[in-house]
Amino acid sequence: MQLEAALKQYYGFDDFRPGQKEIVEDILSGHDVLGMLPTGTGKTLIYQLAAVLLKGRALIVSPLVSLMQDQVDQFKQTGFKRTVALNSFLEHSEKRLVLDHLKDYQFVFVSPEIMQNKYIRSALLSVKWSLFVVDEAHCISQWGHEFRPYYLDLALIKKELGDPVCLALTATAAVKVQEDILKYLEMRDAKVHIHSVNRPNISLFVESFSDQEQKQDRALDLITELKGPGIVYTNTRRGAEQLVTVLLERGMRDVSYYHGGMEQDERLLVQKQFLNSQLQLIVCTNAFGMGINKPDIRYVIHYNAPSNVEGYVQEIGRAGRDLQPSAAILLYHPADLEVPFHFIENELPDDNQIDYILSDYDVLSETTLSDRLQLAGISETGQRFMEYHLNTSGVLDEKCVPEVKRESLKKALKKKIEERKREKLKSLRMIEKWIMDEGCKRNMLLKYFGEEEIAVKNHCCSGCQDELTRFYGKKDIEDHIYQAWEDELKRLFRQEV
Amino acid sequence: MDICFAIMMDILQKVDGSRKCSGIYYILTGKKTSQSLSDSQWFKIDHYYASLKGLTLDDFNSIIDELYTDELIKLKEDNVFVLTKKGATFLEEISGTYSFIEKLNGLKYASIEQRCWQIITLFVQSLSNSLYNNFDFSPVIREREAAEKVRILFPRTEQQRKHVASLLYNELNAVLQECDSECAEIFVKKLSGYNRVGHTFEQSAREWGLSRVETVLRFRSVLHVIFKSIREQPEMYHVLNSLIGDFIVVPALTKSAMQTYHLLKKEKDLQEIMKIRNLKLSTMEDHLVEIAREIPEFSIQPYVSDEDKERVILFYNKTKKNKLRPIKEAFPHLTYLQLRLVLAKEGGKHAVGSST
Repeated sequence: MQLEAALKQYYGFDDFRPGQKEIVEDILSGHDVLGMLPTGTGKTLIYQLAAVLLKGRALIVSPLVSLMQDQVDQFKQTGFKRTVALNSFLEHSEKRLVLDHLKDYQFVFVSPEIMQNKYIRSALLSVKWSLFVVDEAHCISQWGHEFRPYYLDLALIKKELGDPVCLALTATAAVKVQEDILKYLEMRDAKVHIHSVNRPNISLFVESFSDQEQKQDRALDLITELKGPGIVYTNTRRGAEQLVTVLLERGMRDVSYYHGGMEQDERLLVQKQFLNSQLQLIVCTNAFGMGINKPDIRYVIHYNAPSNVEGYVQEIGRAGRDLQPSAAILLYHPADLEVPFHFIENELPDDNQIDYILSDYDVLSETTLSDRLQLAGISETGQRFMEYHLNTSGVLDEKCVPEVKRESLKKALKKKIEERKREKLKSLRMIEKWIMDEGCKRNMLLKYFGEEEIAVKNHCCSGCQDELTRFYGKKDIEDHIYQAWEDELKRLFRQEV
Repeated sequence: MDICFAIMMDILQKVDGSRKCSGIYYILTGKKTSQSLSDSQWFKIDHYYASLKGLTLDDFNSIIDELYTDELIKLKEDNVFVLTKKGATFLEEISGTYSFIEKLNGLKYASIEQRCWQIITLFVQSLSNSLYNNFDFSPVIREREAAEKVRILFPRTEQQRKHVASLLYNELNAVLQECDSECAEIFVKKLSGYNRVGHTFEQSAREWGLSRVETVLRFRSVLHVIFKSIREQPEMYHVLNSLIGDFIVVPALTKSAMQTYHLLKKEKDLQEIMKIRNLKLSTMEDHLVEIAREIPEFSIQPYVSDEDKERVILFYNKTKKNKLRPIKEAFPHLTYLQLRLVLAKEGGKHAVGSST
């Protein structure tokens, strides 16, 4: 079938977005593909269409467990009903049910961790796969901003699955990371499609403050003036809640906060209200946004500096997916960097924790290394990191490990952790430099990702004197005329009033 | 004054110094132990069971502290609080404010309300959208169980959908008419449907100027009225019953007592069950009392003669003693277990204390 015909049939579109068609064609002719496409350029369409045309089944590895269900929902809404997610959120009985009927599914999402489970692994091996998709492929590289150790096992799994065609996707990967992806996924003769991270319709603004109150005032002014819908990112949950409280006190109505500490049902309501345009503004931590497919977001404000350039580019990429002019505004105060700095310092286990986990065999408590790992009070990322390395060394479930081995492991782990920290601090310094530097913000980003600078630009960034005021023009959502519950109930069930 | 304080004071008054703070905390947060289940009924505070689900111990203690500082409660003995005179007067004054509390029945329904709500709201959202011919909406509930149930029960033709809509409208309307208007508003706003995604608790609380806790409780009170209505008149609540009727018949047994009950039904005797399940005698007895209380068709005749049963009930109705000791003194030939079984079975809600 002609690609365009399929596009029309499944999506009703006439044209591909830049990059999509080429990648689908390469997949169909049997090539592995590394695709780096900016967020919002329709990555999912690529593997949906490829799987359909291959008349086969696609396994999609995604690190974002909390987001998987969103993706499944979106697949179903697009018309791909035979889609399912396998992750730690599923209850045992549900998991069984899915695994027993694996052959009935066309798209299966998995987390890299869950494929470590032998039972799941063998179920996955029992069906045929035409496409092996690795989403957020930069997670495989420890130079990437979100290293996920279990990604390193994906090449082996891919081989076990009979070496289906492999599609590795990422939105943001510096050159070094791209090389790692090709190497560690053992992609052969891969076609590489690198698209610019540049999003010409998003103007970049950075404003610095030395006073927190001034910064807050500025944020409130912007929120009052800017045309919505918009997103404000804060770097803590508390920060998000506080800002919303202030906005509500000022009489704003169509705003809510969103963060990982909320109950799942409530979080979903806020998300859907935003999609349904009942809310004009979401104030959130970086837990919000991934997989949110809202085309008309007009601005993204960073109320605090993010912790690395890659994350920043992804977050502002949620604006302007409809290709209309949009603004990305970063409000910087030097104290912003303390939170990510503290986070980097504490994310991975410190020497004491390593020594504890790899301590002498304790006859009394009979704990395995895995038990001790749970007890050591390490962050989720830290646990994942340790679990991976202890598992690959074959000691995770041991109680008693010879001293020589323990000592060498300790040394190796501490070294690895130092490397990771140094890398992350470097990223933090990069974003700081990007903020402080007075040149063209866009060209600096392009340079960071190894791209050519752009000479002629319209409406570019604060460094190029673009005006933020051109994004003003906030309209209040027409307030739902208040209905008494009796009327609203009638309306819901379409009963005659 | 936040509703938490009113609830706490009401409980302290009813418990009247017979339980420590920890026991009350377990009831408020809905811990499923024989002790908190039977205490809830013994002290007639079963509607408060699990009323403050998720309350942290710190929050609990700060409520106690604040009541103490305001001299509304006083210390009776270590970790045991009772109302002061000021507290009792105050409680009396505010008693009308939270009348919806009487509609709560945490003991019966706390464990099923979440699942039932998910089914109801997803069904309403789907139905409402289809009535306006919108088949492309994004569901507000993701749980497979709920989605599956709605998928199975969803009416297939337009005509059926209209019919079900009018039935369900009438059913919900009837329930909501029974509730006060704030509860009804909160409940309807929490529903999602065509062109509107439901409120979060946070948003409703803001809109009504209530605390979050009160908003949640008001919402839950409506759910509990729905459950009760279905239970009492299933034929009147046809659609709701088809959606969630299955859940509502589940008795509020602890998991462990449920297993014991299954073995009893297989006509195993007590000794056998204790051996199979490796239970202590006291645990076994707690289970029997729970089963007697929760399961109407469970007969206590094998354990107590009808004659003894009648006499105990007569005595109980005359004296209304909430403690077992005086009853035991009147019937020295009966064991504590026998007395507890009679009270659990026949004393209904009022008397199912544990032997301790």
